[in-house]
Amino acid sequence: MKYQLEIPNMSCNHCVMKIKKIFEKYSVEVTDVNLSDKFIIIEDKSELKEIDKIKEDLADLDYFVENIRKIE
Amino acid sequence: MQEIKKIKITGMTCSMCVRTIEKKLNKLEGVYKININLTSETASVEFDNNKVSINDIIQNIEDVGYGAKIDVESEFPVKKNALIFPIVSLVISILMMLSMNFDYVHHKFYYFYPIITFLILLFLSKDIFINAYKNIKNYNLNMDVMYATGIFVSFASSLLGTFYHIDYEYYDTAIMLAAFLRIGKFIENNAKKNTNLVLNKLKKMIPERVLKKVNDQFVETDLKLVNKDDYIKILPGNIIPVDGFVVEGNSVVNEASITGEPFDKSKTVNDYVYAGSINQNGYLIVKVDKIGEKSIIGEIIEILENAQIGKTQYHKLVDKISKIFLPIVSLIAIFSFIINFLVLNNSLAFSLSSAISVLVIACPCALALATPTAISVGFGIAAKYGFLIKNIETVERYVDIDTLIFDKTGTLTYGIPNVEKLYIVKGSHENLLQIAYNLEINSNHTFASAIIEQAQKHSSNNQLPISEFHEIPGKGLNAIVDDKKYYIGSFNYLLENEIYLNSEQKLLYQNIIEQGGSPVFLFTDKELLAFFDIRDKIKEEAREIIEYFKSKEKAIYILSGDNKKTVETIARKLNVCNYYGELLPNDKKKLIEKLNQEGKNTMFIGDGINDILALTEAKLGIAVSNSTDIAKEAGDIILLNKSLKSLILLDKLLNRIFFQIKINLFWAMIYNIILIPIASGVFYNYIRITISPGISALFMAISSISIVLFSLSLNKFRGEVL
Repeated sequence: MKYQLEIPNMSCNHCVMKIKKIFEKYSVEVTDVNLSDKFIIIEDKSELKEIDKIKEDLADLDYFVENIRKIE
Repeated sequence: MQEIKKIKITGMTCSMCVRTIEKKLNKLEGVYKININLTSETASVEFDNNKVSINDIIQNIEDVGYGAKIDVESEFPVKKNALIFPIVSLVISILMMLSMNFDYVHHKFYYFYPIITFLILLFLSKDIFINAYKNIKNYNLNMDVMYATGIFVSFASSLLGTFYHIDYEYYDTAIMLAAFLRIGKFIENNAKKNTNLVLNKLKKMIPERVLKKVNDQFVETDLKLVNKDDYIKILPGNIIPVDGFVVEGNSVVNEASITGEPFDKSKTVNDYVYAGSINQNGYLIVKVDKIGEKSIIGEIIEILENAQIGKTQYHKLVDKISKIFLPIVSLIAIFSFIINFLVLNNSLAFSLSSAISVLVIACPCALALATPTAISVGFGIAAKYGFLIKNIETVERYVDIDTLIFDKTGTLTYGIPNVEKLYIVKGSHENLLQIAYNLEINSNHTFASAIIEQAQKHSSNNQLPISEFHEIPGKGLNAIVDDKKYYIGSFNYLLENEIYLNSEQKLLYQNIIEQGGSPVFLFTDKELLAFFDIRDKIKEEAREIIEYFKSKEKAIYILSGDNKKTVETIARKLNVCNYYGELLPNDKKKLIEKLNQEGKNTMFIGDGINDILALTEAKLGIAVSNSTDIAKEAGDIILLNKSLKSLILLDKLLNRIFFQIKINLFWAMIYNIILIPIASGVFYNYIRITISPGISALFMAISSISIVLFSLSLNKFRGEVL
């Protein structure tokens, strides 16, 4: 399943790297990044089973996930 | 028509550059020979000007990315403040690096980083990219290609990081790389210039303005407007600008810059003075004999410049290494990326950085500079001590020398013989001296001066009509003096003309020889008239020199055209077992040839002009010069300093230069062997050390600079006062 996650304070490549690492930890693949519109697209076979933990980890780094939308 | 031109080339950093230019020019029809000197940045090109013009040659050099000019004396304009921009860029790169760790600043300037980096690189490494492009166009791989690849990969990967979010964003690295390369090249070029310090000092030594006599007055004029036979005035404290004869004045002159001899010499009317010597205390008016390139200093400069052209076996080794160096380094860079990223699962950033580091840290420049810088500095020091080394291979050949062959007369002895006694057989003292004087006045032989001096001392120096003068080298001479044929020469020459000594004369003859004297016979085609006992003193330092080289396990030989007994006496006094007398110039050559065939590495030390055959036959020839026409001297080394002791100094210096070359090459090799694997990052998991691309650029610069500094350490070489 593919999901679009809005992360408003994601501003640069460093942010993307940090965010990617968190998703990698939970075996979720980040397939696309759009810095200007501040969203990422992920592919998660577990259908966001770990999303709360991911959100918590991201919040620890001051990245807050808003609007999760299923796209496929 | 065949022509040889010297060209000034800039932008060369290593043997790769030299090879690139040689390769390009060799393709031109009509170019026969190219010799490039990396340290003096000059090339000597032999070409047919009907087939190719010098402008074509220059254009071709420029096409592969180097600057070229015909005027070798001119300097390419040094950009003022050349260091400011690279240093400012370096500061910006450090600020960028720091700012990237602060999210707020990083976010604010996120899209400025690539723009700032692009602009800086545009100014900082434009030349590197242009040269790399020219070389790629010519299917050539040189260091500029490597640097350009390093900078490009670093910048392009960062762009991918910014816009496509790959794990790499190191704009600071790209700038640092370019800045360190520029700073490194600047320091290296400046240091390189110092390796030719003595040569440059000699070139600048001669004053451009002189006091020339015009209408009975001395007026200041340009040296270029001075011609042979003009009169110039040299004031106390000034450097003498020409070679010439003193026609007025007395002074003390220091010729240390030419002969290396520190002692002042007094000069007065009829004495010869040399360009480059310093007039100490009185004024001198000099009739100009030789100016500019023809003067002694001009010849020294020419020999010094030409000496550095050519290649030692180490140059050839470095050339071979250079041919495969860059392709191998490129492969190592690619493999290090593959191994790091795919095999060792290191991050993309680490893998890319490592590959770039390999490209940048690999330094054939240090290898290429190892030999020429040591040679430049060493030969400069040699010139300072009055040794002119004519060939670059001399150093290599010298260290293999195991057999020293000394010419006797003028080398081990003063070569200024005196008539000890004149034994008269028939005729009057005055008349015999007169005939001998008229025979010898036309000869250059060292014994001639002794007889002439003796005749002058006894006022028997009237000129008589002389005709049919014949000189037989190594034997003697004959001529018709005052309508009668006379002969003067050695014992063998006497026998050849079938004149024999009686028992009393034989006894005298033996006695002279046993005493170390050289008998010279004056005779007609019928009878012996007189014989001269001519003695030549052994130089005070000769024994010390022989002992020194014996202690270095060198075999010593003495060769002479003088009679065997005299040579034996001298050899005994000097404790030398191998000696040969009564040798004609060709015999000396044959003897040396035989020693060479026996596998000996021979070095002949002779007094220049008389010993051309021997000097050229020996594997190494040292001419102890008594002549000012040094360019015409045979021999690989010319000793302008007549003291034999200078041979010890020369031995120490040449060994020191050779040692320096070996140290330099070892350092350059080990530098690459250790740093390339570290930079590749493949051992990071074991040794926990890696080198970032920026630091690699710094290391690369340090390697070349360290080689130049090592070579400059030769300047600490101090010889004893001669």
